[in-house]
Amino acid sequence: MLKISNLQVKYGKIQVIWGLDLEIPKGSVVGLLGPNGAGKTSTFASIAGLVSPFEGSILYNEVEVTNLNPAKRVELGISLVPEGRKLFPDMSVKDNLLLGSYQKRAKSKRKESLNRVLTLFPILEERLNQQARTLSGGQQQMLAIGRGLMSDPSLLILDEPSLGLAPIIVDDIFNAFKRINEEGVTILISEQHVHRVLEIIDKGYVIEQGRIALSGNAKELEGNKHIREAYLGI
Amino acid sequence: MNLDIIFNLILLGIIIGTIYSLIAMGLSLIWGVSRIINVAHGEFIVIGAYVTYYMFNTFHGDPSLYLIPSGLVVGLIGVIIQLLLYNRIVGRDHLTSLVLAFGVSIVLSGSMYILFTGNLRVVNSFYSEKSILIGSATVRWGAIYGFFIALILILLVFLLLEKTDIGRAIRAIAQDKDAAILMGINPQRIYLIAMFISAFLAGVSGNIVAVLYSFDPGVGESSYLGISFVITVLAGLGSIKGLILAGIFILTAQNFTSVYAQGLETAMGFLIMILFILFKPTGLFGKLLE
Amino acid sequence: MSTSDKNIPTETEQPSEQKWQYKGSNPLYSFFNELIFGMGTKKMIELLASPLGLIGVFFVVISVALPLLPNTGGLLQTFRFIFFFIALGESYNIIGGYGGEVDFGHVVFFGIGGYAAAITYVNYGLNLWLAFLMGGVIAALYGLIIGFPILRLRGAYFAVAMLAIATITQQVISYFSDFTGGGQGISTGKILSEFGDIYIAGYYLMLVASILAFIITHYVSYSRLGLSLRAIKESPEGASSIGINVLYTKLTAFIISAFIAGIVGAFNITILFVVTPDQTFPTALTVQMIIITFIGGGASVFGPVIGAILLSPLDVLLTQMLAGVSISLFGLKLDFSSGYIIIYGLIFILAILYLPKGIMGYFHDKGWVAEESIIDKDSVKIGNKRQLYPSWKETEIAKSETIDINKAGKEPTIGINKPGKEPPLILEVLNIHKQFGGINAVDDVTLNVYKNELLGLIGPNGAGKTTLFNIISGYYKPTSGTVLLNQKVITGIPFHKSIKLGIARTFQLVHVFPNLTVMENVLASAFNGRRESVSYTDGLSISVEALEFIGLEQLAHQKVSNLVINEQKKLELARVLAADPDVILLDEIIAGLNPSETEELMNIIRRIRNERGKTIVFVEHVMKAVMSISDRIAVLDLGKLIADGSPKEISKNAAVINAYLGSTASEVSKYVEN
Repeated sequence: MLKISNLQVKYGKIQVIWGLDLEIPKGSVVGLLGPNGAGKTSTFASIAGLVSPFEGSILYNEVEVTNLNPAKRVELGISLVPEGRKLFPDMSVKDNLLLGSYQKRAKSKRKESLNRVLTLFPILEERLNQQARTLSGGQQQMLAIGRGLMSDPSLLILDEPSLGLAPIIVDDIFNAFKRINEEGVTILISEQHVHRVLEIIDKGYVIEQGRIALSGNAKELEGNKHIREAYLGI
Repeated sequence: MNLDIIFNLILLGIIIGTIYSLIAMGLSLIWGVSRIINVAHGEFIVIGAYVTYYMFNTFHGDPSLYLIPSGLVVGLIGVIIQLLLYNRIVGRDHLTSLVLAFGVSIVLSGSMYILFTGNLRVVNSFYSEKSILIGSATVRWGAIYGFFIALILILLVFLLLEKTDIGRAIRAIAQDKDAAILMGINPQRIYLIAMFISAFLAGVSGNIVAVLYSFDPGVGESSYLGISFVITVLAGLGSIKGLILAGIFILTAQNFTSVYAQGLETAMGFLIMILFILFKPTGLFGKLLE
Repeated sequence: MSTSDKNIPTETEQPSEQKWQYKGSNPLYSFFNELIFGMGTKKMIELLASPLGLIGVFFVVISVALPLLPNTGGLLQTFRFIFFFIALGESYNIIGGYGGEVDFGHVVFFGIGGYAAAITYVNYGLNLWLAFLMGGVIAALYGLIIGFPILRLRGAYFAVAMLAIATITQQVISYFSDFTGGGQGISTGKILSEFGDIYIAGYYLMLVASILAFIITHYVSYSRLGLSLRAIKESPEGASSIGINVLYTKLTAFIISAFIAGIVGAFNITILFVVTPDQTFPTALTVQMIIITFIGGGASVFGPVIGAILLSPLDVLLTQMLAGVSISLFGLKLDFSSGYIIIYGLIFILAILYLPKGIMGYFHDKGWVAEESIIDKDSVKIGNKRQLYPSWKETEIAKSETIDINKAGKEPTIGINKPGKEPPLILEVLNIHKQFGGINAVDDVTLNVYKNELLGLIGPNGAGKTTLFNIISGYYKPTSGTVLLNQKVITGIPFHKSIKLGIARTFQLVHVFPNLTVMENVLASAFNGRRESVSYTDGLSISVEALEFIGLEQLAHQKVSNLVINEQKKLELARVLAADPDVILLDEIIAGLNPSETEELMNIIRRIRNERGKTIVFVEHVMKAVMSISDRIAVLDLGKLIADGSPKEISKNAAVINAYLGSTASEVSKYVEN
């Protein structure tokens, strides 16, 4: 579904991604693993069109999207749930969700999508008219995921969805990911909590200082020394 | 000071204050959404006043007929300036937008002196000539006219921002541009729409100004820009409730100042603004201006 | 050992052939010494001897002679305009160009100066020349009073607040009519008796004002004040981090700027017969000051001169040309009398879009004219073998070991790795709490830092590492808790003071000053970041030494914006070194570097610790680097300190592995081999 080859990204004079290759099969859950600052967020930003790589290509469903603007990519079905949630804090839960379906294709399916999100996260229904900033951390993450789903994506990218959350809530959210995937959405996820993510992914890539250092299925990665090296430096 | 006078001052504060809330609204909107401090806002208002003046003198009838045309003409000018100039400096530091808008303001006021001369203009209509008595206060019909127009427009803007997709997108860009882009919102398009609304509101305000007061090309800067800043800062960005309360509060404060210390009304407004900037920069309700 | 007696080198320790003497004990002496014998004077002499200077002198001579020639009335007026705007432009330049602010109310100082002179001269019968001086002094005083609150504001806030101040001042002056004559104003006809021809007197006064303004601005530009101002303009955080007091620096500039405008305002009353609020606070004047400075080029002494010479005659010319010109178009009668304003505005808009640094800025960028700098390239000697600056002699290693500066990355010789020696504490963090809107960013963290150690601070995203740094360096105030440096409480000290007390920090995103040279960046730190005040020559030596230590000396006169990222990071280290702090906090200094650059920087950091005896605490994400360089590692997770120990201990700590990998206990065991 998504094929990235030789991706290179610079911010000003700082190069953060150095020739990264990545493939995501349709319907799968793929993990992008690696320590802070390794380049996960920059990779995601390139897929969503927030930064333009100076080298390399991104193919989505065989279509070159490398230089499309973010709006067109949302329309094509790529949805990014950013790190740190990035909600609109002074808007209601409902407005946040509705903004998720701002694009034309999603707008026509707005009612269905809303139902789908509220079934997935019933707590949001109770708080539809509350300001997003008044939600707890876990609810905010659910809202961010829900907002991402409102665009009716076929590829959902989740950047550090468990950041700063209590373990019980992380369980809930990971269960939701499984259900979303079962509904046919392809998922690309980055996580620091390697073991949790290994439970749900079909395939994982380990990224280190802007390059893919290792890839394999969950079993191959489990207990691999390289992961430990990447995270703990020993 | 007897109660009657106090009542009158407050009543006028509410009526005129609401009009000034509308006058400030365009400045506040474009500041919050595009981070452009449109110093040319005062000139936008005066252009609206001239549109009403010339249409009224040509076609006569009720000045309210020229409300929408004034808004549209200024809205169009706003869009042209956005496309021609403001779009070019997106991403440069915000002081650049400040000086650029300053340049626009100079050119617009200069052009108006050439086109319309520096003579004071008035729109002589029913609204400027007749008054009604509310309690013991004599209120010109123009003020009543302006008050209701302002109320209606503020309500419409409120509904637009709260209940429509475009409104949500405008608020989204104002709150978190990066997140808004992720939703597929095109910031350039929203900036343009916000500028049109802002300039439209300025043009409509100009219609009210023309009905209510005399004006020349210089009043945009001397009479309307400063007070718009005061109200915007007091309200805080992104709060319509704040705008109305700030407008009423400032105009009431100025009314009282005019009784105790005539000649210091503008100074009073600015003083309140400086105190707010220093001690409560988030304003009454909104967020920090940048 | 307390910090104060640490800095005074004793007789015996001073090397005999020391090249420079520490003269900074008296800042006042240093100030006047530099004012008279410093770069300002040197550059002024150079300027006068240059072709440009000769042209300038020639114009001054012509200007002086002009009134003596017959039939020059019109020309006199044009020249007077030019002088007037040079003087006001330079005044605006100090705060708007060098200071980087937009000031919509600068006319207020011009007005205050005029009123102060008129009131003291007319109402109190003061000598006219003293009254002129009063104009400047009272305007400066006014600058002090309003600057103290208003200069805390940034950007648009400052601009709008100044607009407000100008209007308030004007209205208040009209209001207190007993004192100021209100709207009627003050009649200054008395001045007629002082001069034979007041127009010629007004002409000469403005000539004097423009020369005075030029000289003052010139000296500001080539002084420490100018360096600090330019640093603040580039990055207020960076400036604070190297010890520059942003508010006081701006306030000083503001007062000088107000003084110049006040003097111009005072001189200007000569040709007014009556001083009124409208004539004395014309908003249009602020507009012209801004445009002239912007187009000529801010932050350059010649900027306003060029701006005034180009625009003032244009102003006069266009006004004369367009007077009474009118066209009828579609029934509208177009009167072009005030058309010059549009041309002014259009030139201004075009300049903003296409010449954003003004004419002088364009010349600087093209390399046609050198930028003004307190550093004279020729007098900076790089590569000479030199003595260490005295305070570095004070460090323990300097006493006990021979230093081989060229040997990088050797084993630590002192500090906690030295066996059998209890390491002395240098920094104590006690029960620090920091809340942001209900979230505990830092939650009861207690941490000791020992002298001369390399302490790594790690943790997952959002663990509170940078927040803790911000609290230690005084950038944030903690919600509760204490920070001690050398047994002294430093909690809540202003950020800009922390480096002087001995704690320096770098930022995750470099906060260097891109439009200054490498050397200027370091020099600003040497002047402002050290405990003692430093003379000019000492400052230069310290900077060169810091650059040589880091290995940036070849780039000393390069603009920082030309540097690549790892050079900018090295520059931050050099800048910190020049301030000679005890503790250095490094926030993700190797982020964005490739492996070989990382290696190089790690070696430098090691050398700073080993050879300069510094204590270094660093936040880092690249684990390999952290593990290889740290003596000790502290781990934060969700605001709490969860582990503290040697790299080996940390790598096997179950809580750390859990925090990073989110594993359960049984899974952790898989990773903890052996």
